[in-house]
Amino acid sequence: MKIEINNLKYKYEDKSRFVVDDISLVIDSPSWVSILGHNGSGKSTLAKLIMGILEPTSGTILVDSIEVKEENLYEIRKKIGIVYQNPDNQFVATSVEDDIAFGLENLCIPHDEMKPIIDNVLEAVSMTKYKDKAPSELSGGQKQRVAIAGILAIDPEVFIFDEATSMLDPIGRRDLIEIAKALRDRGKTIIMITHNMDEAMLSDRCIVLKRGKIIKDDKTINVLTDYETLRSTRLEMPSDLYVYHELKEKNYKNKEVLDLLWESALKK
Amino acid sequence: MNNFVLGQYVPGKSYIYKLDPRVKIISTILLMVAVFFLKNYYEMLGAIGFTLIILLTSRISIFKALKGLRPLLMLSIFVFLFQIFFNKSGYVIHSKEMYLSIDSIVAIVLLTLIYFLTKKYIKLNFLYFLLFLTLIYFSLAYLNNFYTFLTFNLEIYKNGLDMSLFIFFRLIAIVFIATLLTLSTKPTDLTLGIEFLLKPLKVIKINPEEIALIITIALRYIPTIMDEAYKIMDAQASRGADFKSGSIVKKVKIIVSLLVPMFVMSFERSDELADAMLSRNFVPGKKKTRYHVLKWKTIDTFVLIFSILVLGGAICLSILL
Repeated sequence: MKIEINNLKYKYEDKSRFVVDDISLVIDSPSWVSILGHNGSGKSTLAKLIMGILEPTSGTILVDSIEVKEENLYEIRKKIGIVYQNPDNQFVATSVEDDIAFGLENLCIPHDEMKPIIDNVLEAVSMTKYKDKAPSELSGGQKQRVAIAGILAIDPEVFIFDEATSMLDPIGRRDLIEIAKALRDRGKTIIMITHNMDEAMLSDRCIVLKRGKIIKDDKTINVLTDYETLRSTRLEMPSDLYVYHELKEKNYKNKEVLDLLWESALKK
Repeated sequence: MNNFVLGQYVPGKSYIYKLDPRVKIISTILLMVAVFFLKNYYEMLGAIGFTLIILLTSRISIFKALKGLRPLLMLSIFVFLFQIFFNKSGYVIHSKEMYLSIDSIVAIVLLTLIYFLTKKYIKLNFLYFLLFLTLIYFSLAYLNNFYTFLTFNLEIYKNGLDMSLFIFFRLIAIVFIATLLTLSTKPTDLTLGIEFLLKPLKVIKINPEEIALIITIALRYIPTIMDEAYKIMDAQASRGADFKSGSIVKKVKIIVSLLVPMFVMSFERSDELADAMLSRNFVPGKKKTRYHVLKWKTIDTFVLIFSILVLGGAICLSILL
């Protein structure tokens, strides 16, 4: 399965500037792709276009050779799931199990099959003991885990994380990253929209957006060591790579230290 | 604020918790209708006794049920006094000369002041209010030492008293019955029950599933939005806004400063929620399966028949007597 985007353009009706400006790319499965960019670079809009929530001004998106448009949305949304930024604004029901059941009900999964699926996905995000809790009793990180469980229940091949960690505390962030890694190990494709460079380090490939255009699309290590591109988009390097870069710039000679930094950066 | 729980639901294990929400809602309506067939306050007392028996056998604490009365207390007192003073039929059962004089007015003003200043320190505020009314009654009846402007007769009539007791007890009976439902039913079950009972509305193209979804989302977001309101209030307070004192105009202005950000944030929220729901394949009006399925049990049939019998009994009583 792959996601194919061809000459995609999008602008909001009342604006003249294209938020997504002639983007073409192919995302193969399975892979882990980061989409980087500053606020207003069009990265969240791109996610909404892929999900079919927004309709492109021109261009096409093909998911598994099915075009993203009105009549195919039901199929598309079985193949791609998305976790949004705000943990509170994607929790539909009054309890954890009901929220996960929401997606299953929409897919018309028979009643008897729902319970095992729900138990299963709660186990996968280690939220089993919170099954009957209300959202107001959960932390932000726990709500995001429930959101992931809700998508896991639908069992799509692609998971999009639309700045899903940006409103979480460090522990919630770490837990979510662990779950993402587990998803990758299951062979799922992960598209992580972020401006956190430590998260970007985990991906195989990074796509940098600036004002709606792709300005760099390469292997992660090549993108994250491209100091000029990162600076022009006001993104920061991961801290160890930054130190590495600065030391090299200043002709620091101790090769052992440089190697250590390089290794520690790659290890993530 | 994080543990704010909506509704009055108190977890429990007695038979009333095991009933199907549909039966509970229907029975509640039947019993309430039955209350309206009762004609005097003796029967009304019987009805209250009846609901108390249900309360006791279902092991719901009476204090919790009494709490349900609190919001209606002022209304019932007002109705009670209104009936007593203005319903002048039947024979007089109590008559007392009252005086409006300087000393009685001073006494009333003082009493009112004391009442409102000390009210918040007294726990049994209902009894305290009754004491306050009694003291006003005595000052009107016995203080007439200086400049009496006005003398009038306070007369209480038989029918007035009967009527006021009747209305008062009816209010209590109805609130008790309603509390029985809300105390023993989870909001989610209540929603399921309502959804089922609204099914006939499909004929006029109203989708009960959508109504249930609206209720669910409202229930889910009330605590979140309350939380938000407190956060905004804190934020405004830290910039010097004062929500507690000041004139009405000032208060209204401050409330606007609370409502505007809340509205904006709620719209944003609903936008994002709609996106999230769409992403999870929600299609409005489309047929879907259900996670929660209501199961009708034998006890449900019994309770339903029982409530129909109670209503029938009440109707017979009102026709025969």
